[in-house]
Amino acid sequence: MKQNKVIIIGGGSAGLACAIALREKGIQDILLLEKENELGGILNQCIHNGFGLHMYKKEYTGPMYAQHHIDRFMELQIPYIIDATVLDISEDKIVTVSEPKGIYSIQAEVIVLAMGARERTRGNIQIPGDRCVGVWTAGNAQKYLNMDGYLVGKRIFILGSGDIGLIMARRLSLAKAKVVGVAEIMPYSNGLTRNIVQCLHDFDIPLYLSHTITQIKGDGRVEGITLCQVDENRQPMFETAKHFGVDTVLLSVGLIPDNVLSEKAKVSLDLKTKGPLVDSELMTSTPGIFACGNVLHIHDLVDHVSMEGILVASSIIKYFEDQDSLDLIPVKSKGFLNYVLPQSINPKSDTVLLKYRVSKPMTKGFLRIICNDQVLLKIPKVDLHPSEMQSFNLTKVILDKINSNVIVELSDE
Amino acid sequence: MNKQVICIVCPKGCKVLVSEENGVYTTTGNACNRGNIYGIQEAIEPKRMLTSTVKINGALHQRCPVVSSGPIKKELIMEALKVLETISLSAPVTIEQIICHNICDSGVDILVSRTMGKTNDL
Ligand SMILES: Cc1cc2nc3c(=O)[nH]c(=O)nc-3n(C[C@H](O)[C@H](O)[C@H](O)COP(=O)(O)OP(=O)(O)OC[C@H]3O[C@@H](n4cnc5c(N)ncnc54)[C@H](O)[C@@H]3O)c2cc1C
Ligand code: SF4
Repeated sequence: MKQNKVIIIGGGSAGLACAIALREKGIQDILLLEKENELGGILNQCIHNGFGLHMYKKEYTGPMYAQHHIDRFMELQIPYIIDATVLDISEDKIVTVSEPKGIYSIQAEVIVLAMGARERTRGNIQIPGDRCVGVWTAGNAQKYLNMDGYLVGKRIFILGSGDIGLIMARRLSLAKAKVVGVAEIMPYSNGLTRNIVQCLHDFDIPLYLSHTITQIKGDGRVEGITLCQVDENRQPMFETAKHFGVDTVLLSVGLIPDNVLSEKAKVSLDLKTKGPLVDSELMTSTPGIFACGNVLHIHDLVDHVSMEGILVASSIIKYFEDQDSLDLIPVKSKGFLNYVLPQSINPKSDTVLLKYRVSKPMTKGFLRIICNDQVLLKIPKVDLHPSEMQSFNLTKVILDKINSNVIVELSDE
Repeated sequence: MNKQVICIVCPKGCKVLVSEENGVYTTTGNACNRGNIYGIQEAIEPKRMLTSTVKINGALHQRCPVVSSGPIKKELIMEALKVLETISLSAPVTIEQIICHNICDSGVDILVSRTMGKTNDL
């Protein structure tokens, strides 16, 4: 069987950053596998600007950000195969790939999961109504428009006010489609203020907060939708029903980490993040399998994705030097937190970057790091929003005080 | 003149009221000075970055993404898009190659935002 020291699955921002950092640290035997016909991942279709603010202090477009990484990857002559879909990975790290030369298996010493995420679909959220043509996920519509020049419709309603939905509202308006409205089931938008202003206000597109689509009608092609206000329990109030004539519905209702492969390798998943459970080295429950990027948890900023890829590269170097497994210290979340990552601390880590998302918008709050009923740190926080991932760095000084279960708590006092 | 704008410089999103009297602009509602600068610019002459795609032949995809070299007056955006519709590129193109100088006399150029090789070179 063919053998490789490190196999990276996925050539998006996470996989590219990890490969580049590994090679820069002297690892020669790397193979990156990408199922599409080019490297770059989701960034290739995100033609708007706003990428790289943290890492480069610049506002690149998605393709520009990807290009900088692809150019560096090529310069380092890292081996890769495109049109190469990984079909299976096993617990003992055998990777089965289907590529133009055929289907075969490779034994890896280390595997990096960097497969990104997929979009929630109509099936996932169950909107009643006719099964008709013209219901698209926002990401697919984006890909068709930005890469093939194909416009999915002329009168469009968008469900979901996350950034992808907002960006598409502007993109479609610029492409001369009429965006009739954007509905959001929550009482607040999940998108950045900047996108609300520049993608909706600029084009006079109404945002319906606490609203949802209760029905899609159409015979063959979408003809219209019914929009209803929802109550505090997010249940539609049918007496508020309004009808809109549209030919297309765009769903922008969230991304799910794509872990079909991870599950085949018996990697344990977190019910909240929908990604692998990892320690502070970003190693999964299967030794030698690491994860970074959207496959681990959904990111709003690509900079954080690249940084995770780089962290995985450092962890792999440590793993090659010393494979003894130390006892991991579990990390739990409490209070107004949706999740905290990593789910455990590896004593090998010199510092630990805690990442978390809040469960509701808060103008102020306090983050506490608790161990043995003792508050090690209390950090004031302002302007927290579920759509913005937060992070906090645990330094060596704090880590030295941590010897058993850690609780990360967010409260309003 | 009074104009209400939402500051987009940071996620706080302050509602800034811009007032003008005898050519002097003042702002209220902004929590910091960046909101003052942004608010006045937005009230006098709003500008936006322009990103779109243009047709390309001989490349892996039908469209090539493009970006403006800087922000462009909001009122010129639709006109600039019409200009972009008339442009047709041939692969190969290189990132940051200029495909249109000083579009609509805005002082801003349009650049391709990625490299695209010729398909038979791949
Ligand atoms: C529409 C959209 C808009 C965004 N806007 C912004 C923004 O304005 N600013 C910002 O900073 N961030 C933005 N982001 C977030 C950021 O760009 C992404 O989080 C990041 O690019 C994800 O990188 P990734 O490598 O984890 O995943 P991806 O880029 O999705 O890469 C995963 C790769 O793995 C490949 N793959 C999957 N399965 C297999 C398999 N079985 N075998 C082989 N290959 C496989 C896929 O083909 C893909 O190329 C946006 C994201 C989206 C989706
Ligand atoms: S005024 Fe200052 S604090 Fe308010 S949104 Fe603008 S930059 Fe942020």
